[in-house]
Amino acid sequence: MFIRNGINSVLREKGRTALFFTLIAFLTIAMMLSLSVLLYCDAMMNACEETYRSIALVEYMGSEYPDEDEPDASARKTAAAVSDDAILSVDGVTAWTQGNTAAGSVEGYVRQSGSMPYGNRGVIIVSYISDPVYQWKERDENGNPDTTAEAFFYYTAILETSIYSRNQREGVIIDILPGDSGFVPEKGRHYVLNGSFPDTTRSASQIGDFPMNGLTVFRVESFFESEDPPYAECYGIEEVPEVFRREAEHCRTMNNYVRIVPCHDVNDVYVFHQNDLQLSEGSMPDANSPYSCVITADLAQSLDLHPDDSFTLSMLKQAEDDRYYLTATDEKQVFTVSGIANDSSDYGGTVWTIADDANTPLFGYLLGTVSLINNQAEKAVEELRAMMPDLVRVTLFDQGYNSAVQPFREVRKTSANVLTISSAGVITVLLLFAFLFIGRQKDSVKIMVSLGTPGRKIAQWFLSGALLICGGASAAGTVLAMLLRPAIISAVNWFTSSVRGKDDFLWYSETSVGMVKQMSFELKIPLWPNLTVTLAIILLAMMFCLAFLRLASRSGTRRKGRSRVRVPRGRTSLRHRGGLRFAILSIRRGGLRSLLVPLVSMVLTVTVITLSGMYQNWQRELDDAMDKLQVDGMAVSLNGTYYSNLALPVSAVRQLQSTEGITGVSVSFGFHYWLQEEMPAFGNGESGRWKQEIWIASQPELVALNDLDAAKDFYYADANAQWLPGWDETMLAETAVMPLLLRNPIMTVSDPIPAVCSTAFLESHGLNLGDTLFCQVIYENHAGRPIENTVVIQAVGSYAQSGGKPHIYVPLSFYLPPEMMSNGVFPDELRPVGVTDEQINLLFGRPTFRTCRFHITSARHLEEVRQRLRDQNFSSVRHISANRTTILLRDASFLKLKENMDRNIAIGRIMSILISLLIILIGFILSWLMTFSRRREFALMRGFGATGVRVFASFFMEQAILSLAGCLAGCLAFLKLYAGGMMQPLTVVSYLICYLLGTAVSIRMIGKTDLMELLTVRE
Amino acid sequence: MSVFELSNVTYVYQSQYQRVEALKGISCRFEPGRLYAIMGSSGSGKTTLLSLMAGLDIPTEGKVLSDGVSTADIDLEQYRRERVAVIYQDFRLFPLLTAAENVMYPMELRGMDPASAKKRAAELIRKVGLPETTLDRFPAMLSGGEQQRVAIARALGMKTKVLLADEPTGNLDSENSYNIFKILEDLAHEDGYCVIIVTHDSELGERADMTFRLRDGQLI
Repeated sequence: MFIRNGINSVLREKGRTALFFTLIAFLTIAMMLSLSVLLYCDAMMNACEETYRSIALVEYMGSEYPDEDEPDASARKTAAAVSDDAILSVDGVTAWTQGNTAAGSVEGYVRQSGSMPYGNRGVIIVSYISDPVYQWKERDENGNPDTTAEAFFYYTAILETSIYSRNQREGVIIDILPGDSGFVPEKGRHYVLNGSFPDTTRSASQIGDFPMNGLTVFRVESFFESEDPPYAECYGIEEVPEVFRREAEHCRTMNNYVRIVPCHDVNDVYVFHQNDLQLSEGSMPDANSPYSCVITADLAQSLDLHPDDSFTLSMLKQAEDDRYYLTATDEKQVFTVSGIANDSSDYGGTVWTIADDANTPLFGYLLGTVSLINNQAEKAVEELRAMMPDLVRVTLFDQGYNSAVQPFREVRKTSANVLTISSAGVITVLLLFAFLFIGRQKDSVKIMVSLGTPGRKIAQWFLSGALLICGGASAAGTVLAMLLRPAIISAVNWFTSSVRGKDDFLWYSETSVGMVKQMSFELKIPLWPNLTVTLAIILLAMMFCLAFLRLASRSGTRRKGRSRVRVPRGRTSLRHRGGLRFAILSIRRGGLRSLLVPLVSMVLTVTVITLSGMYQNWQRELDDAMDKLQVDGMAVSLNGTYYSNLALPVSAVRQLQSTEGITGVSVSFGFHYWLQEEMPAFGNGESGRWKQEIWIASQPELVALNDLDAAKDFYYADANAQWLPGWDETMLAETAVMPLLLRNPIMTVSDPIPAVCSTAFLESHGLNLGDTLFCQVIYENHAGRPIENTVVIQAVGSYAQSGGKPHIYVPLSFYLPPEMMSNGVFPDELRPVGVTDEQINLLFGRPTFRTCRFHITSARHLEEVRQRLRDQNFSSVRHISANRTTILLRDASFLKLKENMDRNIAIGRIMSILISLLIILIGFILSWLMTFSRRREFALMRGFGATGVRVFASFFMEQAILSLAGCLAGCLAFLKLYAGGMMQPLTVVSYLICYLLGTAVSIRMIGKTDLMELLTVRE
Repeated sequence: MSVFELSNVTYVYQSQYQRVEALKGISCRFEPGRLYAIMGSSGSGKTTLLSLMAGLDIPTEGKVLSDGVSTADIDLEQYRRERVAVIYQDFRLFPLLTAAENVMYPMELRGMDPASAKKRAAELIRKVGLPETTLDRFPAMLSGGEQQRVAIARALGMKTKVLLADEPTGNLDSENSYNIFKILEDLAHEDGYCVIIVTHDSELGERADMTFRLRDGQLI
């Protein structure tokens, strides 16, 4: 009976029941969907953890970066200063692998690719040598050899046996250049020769202007470490002298070295991490199996190795200054093949093995690789950056983990907010429900009590009705949420994939450097959390109902013979009859009711102000970032990480200069320089010249540039140059000096070239700012012939050299007058007497630059600049376009900031609108309920003859005062959060208007109800 | 033999500011088959006395005895359910239950099956002079007199010996008042109920078998 009556009572209150049923169902849907999305995001983030791997490369940004063969003392010193323990102590770091590699050799392996320092060297036996054939270097005007000019000679012979040569060709006719080796063969004899096979595809100067006739050329050259003649009479392989055998073995060993890369996990080795290499066979080695390894396909093929096979490498020792100058040691190491990498010519002959550090000298600039836990990687990298010495760059490569996981994080945050808000909404609605359906049923409770109804029966009555509404509503909400869930999850998938799938967004961006993995979105969410929510809502409703039932029952319970009576405080007489007076009196006597409205108004105002304040602050921060952050760009190699060995045509530079939104284009070109007195004696022979070339190639450069920004030294460090009074950096772009290409090699121009030198260089040579210095500079003329020149420089500025070589920076006009760069016209004031336009065009026909950097005028124009670069067909990283200059914009930090801000702003905007609407709706419903529940009071006033206007004014003013007080309190409390603009005040005013509108509507509705009906209505 | 007895009953209302003795040493006895009236002006303590007799509270001092048992010593819920039935001035009908359901309520509360309770409710509705069409109507659809009759029918459904009525005609016109009083009178004289009416209507007081007068919480 009680259950039936309870249910009947509820069902008969149609309007209120429908309202609460709808509210609870709606909030249940909101809770469940937000919970589902939250769980889905969690699951996806976990899946991301499994799918992606994060590593950080720790690199020293020396001036020769990223030359991996460079023996840089500064890099080694820095590497020694990097503490292994400190790195490993950073949260999120799982392993630290130093960048040192080792080398070994194994019988049977013939290197087909990769660096082969002595790839063109050979020890051969020749026979059937011809008479010398003379060749004149010049031709007369008829095209015939000019026999009066300089000549050289060569022999033709048969290559009988290769003791060592890379291609092991035998039985072919070759041309032998004796050079200055002193080799004078006798006809009919056999000889063993040491020398090299010059690359005849290169310029003629490399092989002594030898007129290529299609035959293989062999140049006789001296031994590396022996003064013995590089030739000897020899009639068979058995007769080859020991010195020739040693030389052959040395070359073979050095060319066929095997690179050993120790690591803690091969998956975290950059080339595998970035998917440049993949496993074609076997599996990755177990991290707990020392010396199990992955080898390259060429090694596996040469040695016929398969997974689980073992092989032994003889360990080689590297020279301190040359990683390819290898000498044998007694040490041997056995490796077990776990997997074989797919073929890749760039990494031939490499073994990636589970081992500790190689304990070899560091070459290049990769100090090491840090393995990271994905979700802690960003923070860990920040910490690592903070602890690293100057000029050390820590770059995170996460395979796209962050871009994949970030949208899920944001969606999760939003869904958590929605869950919190809807949970708060559920609690509020359930409280209101319990209050209205049970708390205000004192009369019914009183009747039941007076009729002797036991407490549990009373509870049955009310709880059955409450259960019907709450249970029904939450069950309906659950069903609807389940039906809507796939659509919501699809929407999340669409959102997250669209956010991270912006290909256009990544063009020319350094954020595109590094491989990005894709992962699937198919995941299932368990049902139990949603069912728990349903149960929780029902239980909460029952709890609230029971609490209010207890309160309602108190009026009908035994008071043990003594009643306590509450007497209103303050004046109780209504002396004035004005609506305002009545409103104020009603507020004063309203008790909890009078507190509720201002309290809710205050909370809602604070929420609105906080939320819209956050949104506006994000917008402002983004605007500030747009204005303040400078994005710059550079020309790079195709993979985006290398910028050395560029040959950037002047046409590309002009294009960049003329691109709207790009400013401060700086370029550089370097010539190796040396001081005459510092050059070692190399001898006059071919071998001496060869060694001299190698020596010069390792010397620092005299770099012509128009801005220090273009210097590799200052890519990652500020120049902080000190200047001679009257000089500054502008001289690099403005000072006109005679271009090197126009200088006469014989006559040294005495006008010094202003230059910026390294402080260490000046000190080591006893120089001060303002002093002059003679330098030897070498360049190739238009015919590819090396020309040496002496230039005088004056040190007008100095910089702190932080590693690498002591490059000297001089004005760009030393290489190319800036006017020529911009309009192709050579300035007359620099033109030497007698030099024609034709000669100028010949000399400066196609200038190229080694580096190029520029700035974007404003980060606001980043996208436009990107589009303009696309329109001009520049290449983006890993995409060759018509314009083969690859451009990389260094925008990662800006984009990351912008991306976060944009996402916050977008979510903030949606949340602001939703919450504002919700708040406005709450305002409307609250005011409606607050007024409608007092309709008997209304009827009484009307019954006593109060006019409609008077009644309206009384109620309206009361609610207006209460809500306004709450809003003002909220505004005052959060005045600090006022972010300017009209959004916050407008939302608060909207709330007030809606609240008052709700009041007005409900008063109007009450006014339309029959007075008699109102007088009989239950409160 | 008396079914109801008040023995030196005192009741105190205590507020933050003052202490009010609503009843001061009331003693009286009530017999079955008789109709009593307790009269007094507003604030004389009538409703407080009725509340004590209805078992809604116990006296601060003294005893309310039902069949010789003090209400302080028994379960008041059971007392209200089985020993007294109260008819209120404001009828106190469940607004969301029909007239029939209102009448059935105490019967079902005592364990009667719904079908029997419905049949009995119809009888009682007829007994108090209402047509059967009243059965399915909600209180809000009934006049004051009709609602009071439903309240009497509900009280009758409780099968108690004592019937308490708090200003049963207070909200009714003279014709309805007369009819209601007649019903109560018949219940006392014909059905043997001990009917106690609390009223300030002197006309009703004069028609009662015995009248007690209250002033300032004391019988005069």
